[in-house]
Amino acid sequence: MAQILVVDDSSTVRTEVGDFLKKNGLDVTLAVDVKDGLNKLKGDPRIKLVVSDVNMPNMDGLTMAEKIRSELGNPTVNIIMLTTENSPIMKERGKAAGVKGWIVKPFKGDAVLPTFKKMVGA
Amino acid sequence: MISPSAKQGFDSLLQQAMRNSMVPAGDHCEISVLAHPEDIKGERMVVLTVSSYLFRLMVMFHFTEDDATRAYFSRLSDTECSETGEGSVVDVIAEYGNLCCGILNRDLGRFFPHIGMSTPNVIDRHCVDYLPMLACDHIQHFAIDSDSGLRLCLTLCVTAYAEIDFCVIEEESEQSTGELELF
Repeated sequence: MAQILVVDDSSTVRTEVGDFLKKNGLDVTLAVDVKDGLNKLKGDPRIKLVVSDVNMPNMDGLTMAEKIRSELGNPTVNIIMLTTENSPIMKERGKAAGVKGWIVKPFKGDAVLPTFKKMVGA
Repeated sequence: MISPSAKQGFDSLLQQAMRNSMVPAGDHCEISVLAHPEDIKGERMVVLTVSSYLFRLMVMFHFTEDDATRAYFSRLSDTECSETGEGSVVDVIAEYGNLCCGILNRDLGRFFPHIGMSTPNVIDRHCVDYLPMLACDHIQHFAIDSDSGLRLCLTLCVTAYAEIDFCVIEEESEQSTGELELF
C-alpha cells in the first residue's frame, strides 16, 4: 500500500496527523526532520505523498522539497506543506520547488482526507 | 521608536492569537494584561521569535510541568499529555506556542510583508533576568485565566530597528486555516 510521509519536528503534530491518517486506513511513516525525511523517502518507493512542516531546525521544509526534486531526482511524489506560514513569498517558492499544496495549521483532517487518498491512490 | 498605536497593535494581535489558539474548546478563559509581572510563576518558558528587518519580537509562554498544566493542555490538544518523552506537555506547549505565534506572524504579515518566525525553544525562567540586555522598546505581560483555576502567562518583548507605526482594526478576522490550497 502507498505510504504517506509526515515530516515535522513537533511530536504533537506527528502524532496528531499520523494517528488521524492511520485511523482512516492510510499507511504512514513519520520523520522528525528533513534529514530523516529524505532518508525515509529515499529508502521507500511506496511513499506517494509527503506532508511536511516548513519551519524546522537545521533545514526547512521548502529546501527539502527542492532536494526531493533535484538531489533525489523524484519528480512524481506529491508534496504538501503543513505550516503556520501563509506568506505569498513562501508559497511562490514552494510552487517553484514542485509543492502541490499548502495547508495552514492547525491540521483539520476531514478537510484534506479525500485529496490525500486521491494522491496516494487509496 | 514604536508608536502607541503600534504597541497597542502588537498587544491586540497577540491577544487575538491567544484567543484563537490557547483556549480549549468549551473552556471559558479570561485574557488580560498582567499589571504585576512579578506574579508570573512558571519554571520554564517556550520562546518563539518573529522578525522583520524593522523589528524583532519574542513571545514567552511561561509554564510549570504540573498536573493542572498537563490537564489544561490535554484538553487543548484533545490528547493525554504524558509526563516525559513524545507527547509530553512540553512538546504540546511548544506546538501550541507555535500555532499562537503563527497566527501573530500571519497577522503582522499584513503590515510587514518580509517577516519570519523561529521554531520553539524551551528555556529556564532565569533567562528572564537577561531581558534588559535586549533593550526592548515594548514589553507587555498577559494572563490567560481558565475557569479550571489555571493561570497561563505570556510575555511579549519587541525591539525596534526603525520607526514602527501601524494600526490594527479590531474587526479584521483571522484567515481560514486547515484547508488545502492546491497549486
